[in-house]
Amino acid sequence: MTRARAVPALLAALAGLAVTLPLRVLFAPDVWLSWAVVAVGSVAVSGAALRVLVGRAPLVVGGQLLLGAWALAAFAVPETLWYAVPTPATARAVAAAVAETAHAVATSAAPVRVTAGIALALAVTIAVLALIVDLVAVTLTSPAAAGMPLLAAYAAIAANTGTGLPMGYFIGPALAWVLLVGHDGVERFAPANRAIAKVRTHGGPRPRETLWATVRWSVALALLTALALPALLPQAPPTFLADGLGRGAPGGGGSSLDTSLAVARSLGDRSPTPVLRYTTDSRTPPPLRVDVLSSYTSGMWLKAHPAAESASLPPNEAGPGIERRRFTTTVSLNELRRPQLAVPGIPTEVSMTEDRWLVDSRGVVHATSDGLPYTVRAEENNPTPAQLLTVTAGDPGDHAGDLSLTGVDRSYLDPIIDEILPQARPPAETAWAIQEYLRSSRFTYALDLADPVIVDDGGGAVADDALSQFLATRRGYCVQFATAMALMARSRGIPARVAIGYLPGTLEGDTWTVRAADAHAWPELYFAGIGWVRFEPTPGTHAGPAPAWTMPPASTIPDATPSASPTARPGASPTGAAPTSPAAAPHPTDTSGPSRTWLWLRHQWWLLTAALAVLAAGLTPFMASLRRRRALHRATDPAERTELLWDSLLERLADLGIVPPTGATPRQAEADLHRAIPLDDDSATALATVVSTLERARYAAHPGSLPDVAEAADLVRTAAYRSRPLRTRLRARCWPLSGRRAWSDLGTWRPRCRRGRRREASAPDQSR
Amino acid sequence: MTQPSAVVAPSEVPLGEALDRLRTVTDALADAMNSVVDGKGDVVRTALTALLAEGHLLVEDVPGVGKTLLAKALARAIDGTVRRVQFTPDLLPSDITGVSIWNQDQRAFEFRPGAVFAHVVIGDEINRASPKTQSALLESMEEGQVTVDGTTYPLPRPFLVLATQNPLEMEGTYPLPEAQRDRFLARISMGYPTHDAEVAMLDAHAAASPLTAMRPVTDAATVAGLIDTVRRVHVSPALRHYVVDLAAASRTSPELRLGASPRATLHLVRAARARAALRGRDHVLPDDVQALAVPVLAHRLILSGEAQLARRTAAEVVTALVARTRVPGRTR
Repeated sequence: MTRARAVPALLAALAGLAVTLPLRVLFAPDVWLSWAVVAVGSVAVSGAALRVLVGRAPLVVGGQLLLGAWALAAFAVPETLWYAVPTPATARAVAAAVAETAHAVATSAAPVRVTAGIALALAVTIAVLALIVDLVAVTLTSPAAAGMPLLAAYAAIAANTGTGLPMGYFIGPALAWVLLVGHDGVERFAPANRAIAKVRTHGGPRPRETLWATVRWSVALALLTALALPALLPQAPPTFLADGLGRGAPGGGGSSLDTSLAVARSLGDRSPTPVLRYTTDSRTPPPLRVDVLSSYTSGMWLKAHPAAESASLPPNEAGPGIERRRFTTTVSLNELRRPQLAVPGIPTEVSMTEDRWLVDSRGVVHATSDGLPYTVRAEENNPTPAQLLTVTAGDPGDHAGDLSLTGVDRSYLDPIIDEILPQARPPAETAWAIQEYLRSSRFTYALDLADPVIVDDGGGAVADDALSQFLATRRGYCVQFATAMALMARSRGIPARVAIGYLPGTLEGDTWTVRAADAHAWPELYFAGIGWVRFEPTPGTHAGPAPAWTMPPASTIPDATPSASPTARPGASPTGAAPTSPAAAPHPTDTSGPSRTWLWLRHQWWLLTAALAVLAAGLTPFMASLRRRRALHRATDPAERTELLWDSLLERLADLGIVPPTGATPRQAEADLHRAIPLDDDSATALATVVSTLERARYAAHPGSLPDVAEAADLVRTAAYRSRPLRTRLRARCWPLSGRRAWSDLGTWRPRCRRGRRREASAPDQSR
Repeated sequence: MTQPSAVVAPSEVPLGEALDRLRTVTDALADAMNSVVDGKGDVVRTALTALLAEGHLLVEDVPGVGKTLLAKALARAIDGTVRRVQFTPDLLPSDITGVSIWNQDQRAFEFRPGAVFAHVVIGDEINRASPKTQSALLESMEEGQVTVDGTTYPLPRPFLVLATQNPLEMEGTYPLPEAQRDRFLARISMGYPTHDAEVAMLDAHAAASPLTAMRPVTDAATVAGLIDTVRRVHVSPALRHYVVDLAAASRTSPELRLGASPRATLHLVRAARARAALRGRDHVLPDDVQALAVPVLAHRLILSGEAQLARRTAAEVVTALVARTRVPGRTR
């Protein structure tokens, strides 16, 4: 049980889990949390079991990695398993999830809407963190050092939230870590304390009491600092980078969305007033649509024409091969003014008191009374990128009106389109390329628009219409992005329109709350056989990640090499651009990526060498610890173990510059250490214990049951550490002798020969 | 004081128990001797070491530092027979070994034991006797028996010779030849007492000699049992090699004309055993060997001409040898 170390393992798991709880601020809804619990739990349990079974740290970590990955796969992507055995499909699912998450994190502002893929990637990340914490704190018994990964994780999350985190998010992991350190201290000092108590002749605080006093003071001080510091520091009001279109009078009776969108207008105030509250059985609900606009004239979107209204909902146009996600949404609060009605997805059934609603030919539902609550059964088409690719440009049919470009100044638009798409491509690839172009780091999301420009970089005049101005200044919010995408798509023959409505909002308990600031606009492109397909060209918004189908399949994602376009340097935008996503390059045909990467690497060999050197230096303390443990593990009897512990003690004292004279007997070394280290009673007794045990191990006829002197040696080492200046201690920790020896061992490592030598050395006739 | 009847055959007693008893007895002996010889704890310990190692002790120092007092104190502390021989140039070998005289009544030669037939023999100023007399004593020391007129008489057990010697007044003395000195397990110097010890001595010796008030704390049989206990102390193979290494180093040292003999090696191991036992240990440490290297080895060695010209002493050479010889580490 002592080797399983169940209590510290539990504490480490709790710390790992608690430190990632602030992710709830960044990723909503919380579906990832249960997966993370499974992953962390499996890491902790498998760690405890493996420590009993195999003991050696590398094996324990390897086993934890395998078991944790398996548990996560079985829980999160069971459909990819073949009789509980992970398959290449599992790996692909995880890789896709990681790529999706990386993209979402790079292109979205908090909170990112959690999809199944993002939840999986989060769980994997949290599992890796838990594994590191478990390895450092429990397997390698250095719980203090485990504070580093915990702190790093907390800092990374906190830095990304942009707002103050609730205090509980800090206290939780901090408490778990303090308990972890405290438990380790008690465990480590208790046996030595018992041994020392026998020979204690005078009073004074016992180590355990001292330790607890230290822990209490540290906790009190840490909490005090954590609570007092924010109160003393000047604090900026929380800023929301999220966009929105809420422009209703604050506090006024209800709000409404302008059904005409002026593309040239900056967004000023945004209201946090709740507009909608609803519950849904979808874990990742789509945005709620209020209206669709398909007529663009002189920088304004307008309703196309008064559409015929009826009481029967139009059918979902998607073909039989298209996956449909069905969900039910019940709206309990609705501040939208009649006749606007927020409806998610493609409604199949709307239940409202007295059934006072009508639907027009575009599928937009209007309310004729304020019936609450109302329930919408809806579907969301979930086509695969491959299915989108099969759609070819054809006769627009009924949607010819959605191809209109009348009133659009194309003098600035067309060259850009030609640059993005030099050749005609299938509609899906066209749409992907446009979205990637708009989501790339060239564009900046901002609620205020840039001042109008007259001359562009290339010397040509920029038209003064809103769209050209947006494409030239590359600064805007969802309306501009949606407009640009819709019109670009139209210019390439894809029927497109702009939908307005609300983002899913934030989940509180089981109720989603949509505020006026969640108002959003997005383009919808028409694909024959699938219907209107939502795209998300707006970067850095509440919108979260773009839907899966709006990204090309992984095989066609080009290399991450920055575009060769001279005006497309990352960071070229004046306000600092959003990070480039791996899929942001608009040239899917660029196949020179790998060789270019290789060329770059070849020229950066010194950088690689330096990175390797830094890595090696960073690994040295771990190598040292590993070497000591490996040696101890190989000890065949207590005598050899005592010898190894003594060697290890001398090695670690040598790191501190304390070296007994060569050829000294253990007693002489003891006397020398007494002179070199100011030992208190406890550590002096511990040193005497180590030395007498070593003498018995070496010279007694029958060493018999030797006591384990690991704790005593640790006590001596701790006393020595305390007596040395910080610089020496740091050097000893970061660049230990045994670590350097471990590196040199690697050069001469021959497992079989070593075993052979050991046998030879222990033969009785060689007994020197 | 332990009664002879309480003495159990040492091999039957567990070593730990035997060592406990050994410590009790030797502590009492040391206390008794220390009450007489002020401030000479180390010398007393070495004397006891020699006693337990079945060796003989050569105490060498200037007059008046308490050589004879030490010897007398040790002899008095043990309830056994004690003989003191004042060596003079006219002392005859038969005075040491004994002589057969004609018994008129029994009409046979009768052996009259000499001074050597005792548990503790104090040979005072041994270098003042003729070499013939000296060798008579030394032979009996080595063999533990005396042969007179074809008859061998065993000496009692324990048998300890404490010889004193004055290194200064060399006129009219017969210095012990190196070969003879080899018979002594150890040679020690008393040294002058410390200031405090000398002041304390003035108080203690003011009224009467503390020796007269001294009572035995143990008996010869018990000491014989302790000697058997010491023999059971373990010397690890690595340490045996270490001792041999030390002796070998002395034989090849350019500073020495005569190195340590195999008898010196044997003595060193025995003394180390006794030292370990005196400290309650059932095994010998390299520290025991190192601590005894100078008293056990130094008096047997003959310095080379160069070393003598360099005014080196044997003790210094031995210390250097110890520093040079590798201490055994792991036994495997």
